[in-house]
Amino acid sequence: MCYKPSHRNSCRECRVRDARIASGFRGVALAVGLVAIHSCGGGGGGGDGPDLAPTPAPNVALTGRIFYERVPLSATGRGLDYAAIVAEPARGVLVEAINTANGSVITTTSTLTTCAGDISCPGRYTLTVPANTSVQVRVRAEMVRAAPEPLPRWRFSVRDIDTSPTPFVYDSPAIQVGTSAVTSDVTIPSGWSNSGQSVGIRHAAPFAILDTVYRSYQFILAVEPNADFPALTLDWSSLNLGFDTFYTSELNGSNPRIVISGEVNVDTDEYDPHVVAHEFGHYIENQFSRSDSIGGPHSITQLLDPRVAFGEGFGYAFAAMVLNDPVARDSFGNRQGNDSFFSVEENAPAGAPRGWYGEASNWIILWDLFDSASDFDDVAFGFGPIWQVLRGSQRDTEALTTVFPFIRALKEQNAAFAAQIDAIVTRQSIASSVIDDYGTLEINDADEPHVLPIYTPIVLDGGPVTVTSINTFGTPNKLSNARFLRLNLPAARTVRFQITADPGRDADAYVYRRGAVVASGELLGNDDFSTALNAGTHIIEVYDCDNGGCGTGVAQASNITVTVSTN
Amino acid sequence: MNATRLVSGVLILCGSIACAGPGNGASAPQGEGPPLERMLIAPQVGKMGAPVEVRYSLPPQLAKDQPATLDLAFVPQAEGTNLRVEFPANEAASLGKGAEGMRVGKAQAASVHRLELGITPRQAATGEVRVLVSIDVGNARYAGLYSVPLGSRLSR
Repeated sequence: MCYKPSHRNSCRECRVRDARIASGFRGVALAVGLVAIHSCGGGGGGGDGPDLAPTPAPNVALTGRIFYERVPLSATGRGLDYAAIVAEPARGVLVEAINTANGSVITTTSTLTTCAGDISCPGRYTLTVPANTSVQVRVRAEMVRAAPEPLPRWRFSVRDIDTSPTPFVYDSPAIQVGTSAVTSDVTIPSGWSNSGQSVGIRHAAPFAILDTVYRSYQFILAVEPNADFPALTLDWSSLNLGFDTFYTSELNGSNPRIVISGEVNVDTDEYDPHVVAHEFGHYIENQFSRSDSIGGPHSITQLLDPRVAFGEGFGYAFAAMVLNDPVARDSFGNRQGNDSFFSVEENAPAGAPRGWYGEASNWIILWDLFDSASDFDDVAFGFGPIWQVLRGSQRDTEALTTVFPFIRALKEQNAAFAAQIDAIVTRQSIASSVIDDYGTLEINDADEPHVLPIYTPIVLDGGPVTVTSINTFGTPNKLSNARFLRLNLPAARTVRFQITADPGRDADAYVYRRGAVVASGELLGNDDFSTALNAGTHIIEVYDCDNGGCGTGVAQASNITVTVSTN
Repeated sequence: MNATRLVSGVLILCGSIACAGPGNGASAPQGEGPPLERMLIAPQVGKMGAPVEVRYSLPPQLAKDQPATLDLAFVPQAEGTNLRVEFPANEAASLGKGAEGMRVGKAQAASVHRLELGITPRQAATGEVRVLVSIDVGNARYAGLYSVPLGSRLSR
């Protein structure tokens, strides 16, 4: 860290600076260093005069609060209300003092979130900067608590991954710091006028997104105080297309990312907390629990693959829990003047199928287990018991992640409330009283012969088993597009899988062990593959490619015969 | 490979992958226009969509700067009200007749609502016409964005 000019053999000032750095004043020391470097290298021959260190410039406190402009939702169904734009504190975001002379970062801090009894606390920052310096306050669209800080830790950042490897920032105008403390509030503009006209860059959007993330991770910390959140990128841009908000990660869960729409007059999501919290729910489920959902399009009336139904149902219920608001809203349309809306509290949404395959049934169950409103349910678990199941049994189940293992475990862990849980689940036409991870005794077949059993048993060397992939409920992620088989291996061994499609059809297969793909067959037509498997239950997913989204032909009912054998 | 679950090696939830194929068939009178069963299903983009099936039919060939007609059919999957069809700005084509969209006060489940949309492709090989649909069902409102791809039909 010491700048050592070549014409001098020693640099006392630099040693002083190093000591300051070691004492923990790193940012300040750097700033002082800039001054001292000048002293150290300049002046041209101090000669033999007294070797007196110059008096370091005093430090000055630069304080203030960071706000961002939020465009709130208007009355239900009317989208965003630009006339009611409000400045809200930016909680827990990174703030830097920038030396305007050279653009260097002098020091960094995070804005405060809450302080008991002090309503002026959220968004407050305090930076220590050298006196007589021109600085800018740079607000980074990033919330970080990292090592060596003890748990909990997190790193949430908003950036446009197409254009920048670093988070969005907002720079205040230059502030001339003298020799006494300075207060400077910063309000990050929305870029919208009160009449809904675009008047500038939408600087506030990333910070509005982060505020919903703040609420979401705080909700998790309430049940897991030492959570270690994997770094999450929130990819927002005014060029991100409308209606294309989603969560994604690599298949092993790495590089989690939430993409958020920003297309004006079609769909912007930065001011839709339910949308952001919903996607954060996918992140939480994927990173802390397990999600076997295959994703894809979905709507309220559709009968979905049960993995999708649970994942989407959890997302909507989670958002309602975080925001303590059961009405999900999503602004869209010309001038963001419309919004879609529905309530997770409504027990029988019009048009929604009841059953383990309906996303509404899944969110209704989860919300009713959580909430304290007494409608048809007598339990108010809060999030703790739900989180316990997600972190434990649901993550480790040998079945796929659907409502079945979740409810089975919840009942086991809260046996005193089993009857009340059954009442909630049974209202959604799910056989709760006899539930197991596989829905073995489920009788809700959606009036379709190729739905039950949810998992068809198959035995090693037990001969072929035929199931039918259907498109009755649409494609490519709808009920019974994919069919599941359950294979139990008493000991580790190599197993051969033969997947035979109807003539002219293309059948594919995945083999899962606790949700992880351990083998697959994805050739055109039939598949025949062998793999070494551990002991335990394995799930085989098979589907006709034209029903499952990978084909280019016509979707239709198609038989698939599976044989599992020793080599 | 299943495009829904393995898109470039990533998991996507609420993703934008969809595919054509018969969905829930509509049994109501179809009115004028191409037979419903011969129209393609427009995939819905992204997050939870509207419970409306959107089908489309295009001429076999499209040419840049040559007007053509896009036949659209909207089939609610549940009884609803306030069915609205809009066309967000797009770069693929300029829109003519029908660009103002459509509003239907009451829409029965499986009823068919048709719209002819005049389009003039601007680009030689790519692009799509996007269709924004919303509908009130019970105490809720749902919206979805659908994509009608033009690219494969455009002569180069």
